[in-house]
Amino acid sequence: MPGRDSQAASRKSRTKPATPAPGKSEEQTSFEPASLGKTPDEQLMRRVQQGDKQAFAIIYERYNGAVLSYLYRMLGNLEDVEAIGQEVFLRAFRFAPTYKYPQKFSTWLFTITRNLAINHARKRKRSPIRTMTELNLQGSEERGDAYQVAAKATNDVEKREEIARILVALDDLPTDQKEVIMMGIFQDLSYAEMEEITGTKAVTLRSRMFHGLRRLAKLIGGNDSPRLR
Amino acid sequence: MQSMDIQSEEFELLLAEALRAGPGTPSWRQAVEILRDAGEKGEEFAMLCRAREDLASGREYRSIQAGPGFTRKLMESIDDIEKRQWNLPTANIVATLAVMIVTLVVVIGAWMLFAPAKEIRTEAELLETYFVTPAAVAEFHTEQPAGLKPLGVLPIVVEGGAKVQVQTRRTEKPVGGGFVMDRAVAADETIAVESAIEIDRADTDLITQLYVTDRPDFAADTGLTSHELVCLVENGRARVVLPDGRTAQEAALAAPTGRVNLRIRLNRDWAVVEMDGKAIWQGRHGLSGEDTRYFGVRLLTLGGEKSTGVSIESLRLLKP
Repeated sequence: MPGRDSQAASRKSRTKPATPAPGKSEEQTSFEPASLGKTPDEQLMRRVQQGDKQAFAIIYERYNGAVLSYLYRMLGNLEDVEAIGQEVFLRAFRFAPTYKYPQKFSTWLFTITRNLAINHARKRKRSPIRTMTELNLQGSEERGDAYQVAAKATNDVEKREEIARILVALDDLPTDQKEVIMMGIFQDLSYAEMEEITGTKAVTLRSRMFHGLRRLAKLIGGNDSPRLR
Repeated sequence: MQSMDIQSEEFELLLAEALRAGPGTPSWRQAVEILRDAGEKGEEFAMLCRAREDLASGREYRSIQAGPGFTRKLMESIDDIEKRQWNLPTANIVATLAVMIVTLVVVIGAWMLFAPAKEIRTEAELLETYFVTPAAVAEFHTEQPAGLKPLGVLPIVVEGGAKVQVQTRRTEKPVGGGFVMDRAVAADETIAVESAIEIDRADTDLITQLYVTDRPDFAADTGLTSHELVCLVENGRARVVLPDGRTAQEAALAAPTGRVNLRIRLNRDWAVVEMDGKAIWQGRHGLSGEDTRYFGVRLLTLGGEKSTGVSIESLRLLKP
């Protein structure tokens, strides 16, 4: 991929070490959920609705990776991910009263996430200027590069190449196909959940899944016959 | 299930779920087995499965976590939201209280300025009420004051008082002349009407009337109406006549000549009639409790040589 290494290097150089603000220790910003650790998300949200910040901290711990990864995969840009990721969790806290128990929390949260991502993408089309942020995200260096990820997955050089090509090709998929793959495959959301989040019928989502994978499958070159395990 | 047609809708659903759920899941194993049995026919679908396997291998791609800086920033923002949530109600309460106080002051002020006077229910309360605010005033000096309409056929001139200037011809029926005020008053309003009259001749046969009517059907010849409360002066005496025609009270004037001040205080149901500041009658006046009231003065006579000698100097309508 032309420019891939330079992009990674650029990202690396822009990433600042996460240092605590003056007068604040790491401990102050970490969460120490005590007895709520095994409480279902939906029960935690009821507590958040009553102003329980600790319950929100647990939810945040559980979902920050999923939300930020989804945003990174969909937007492909860390600056945007950080800005929108902040907004997602702020909204989840601020608009907690609008959550209706016992609605599945992950669906509610991903609806917020998706809407913000779409709005942001629209805005970015109109104004491509990005907000400079501190990039306080972890894992982007080693997992932001398809070739590094593929190298960790297998020792088979050819297979590595295939995996990497497919991962890189994700960015070139039409947004609707890419979204289904991101949600269904990377976020483990069911078709029913995706239907609720996107408002698109499950039959359409299944079709998009097929089409998306078909496009990716075309990248699998050579005369190798499919290996089904 | 292994004999499932790979072109069937059933298989399509199975494969869609397998592709979503990925390697290792029951749907995946089932779909792969069917495709393996299908041989070349299932090759295209097998390619999809292979792409899906590659994605599973690269599952970590772009998986990131929040760093401490991200978390700290978020929590600070949430603290800000909480502070605002605490501050806002206080601000709202202060603002609401301020609005309520201002509204209360305005309402009280408006009530004090525009509220109708306290309802006076009895003649005793009427007696204790001070009528100090002129609502309409007519002083008969040199010409007919504004705000009055003339009544009747008796020629009244305004010259040092409203008076019959010349002796009129003697008639069998009385004739009258006078004025009604343009200013009318609602029945439930408490009001006083007063008039000052000057009697020059003790032997005059003029009848001077201060009246309140709720039926302004003034007779063309006399200016009388069919329903009125009247305080009149005749032959050296004052008399109160109710709307039904009954005389409620009579009292002698202090002197046969000179100034006499008549006043009727009334509210919706009650009236007090005074002469020279002293009540000569009080009771239910019998006027309608709903119809608008009209006020005025008039002179009545049968004519002849004694039909002069009285002049009406003023007519005033007063509110508490």
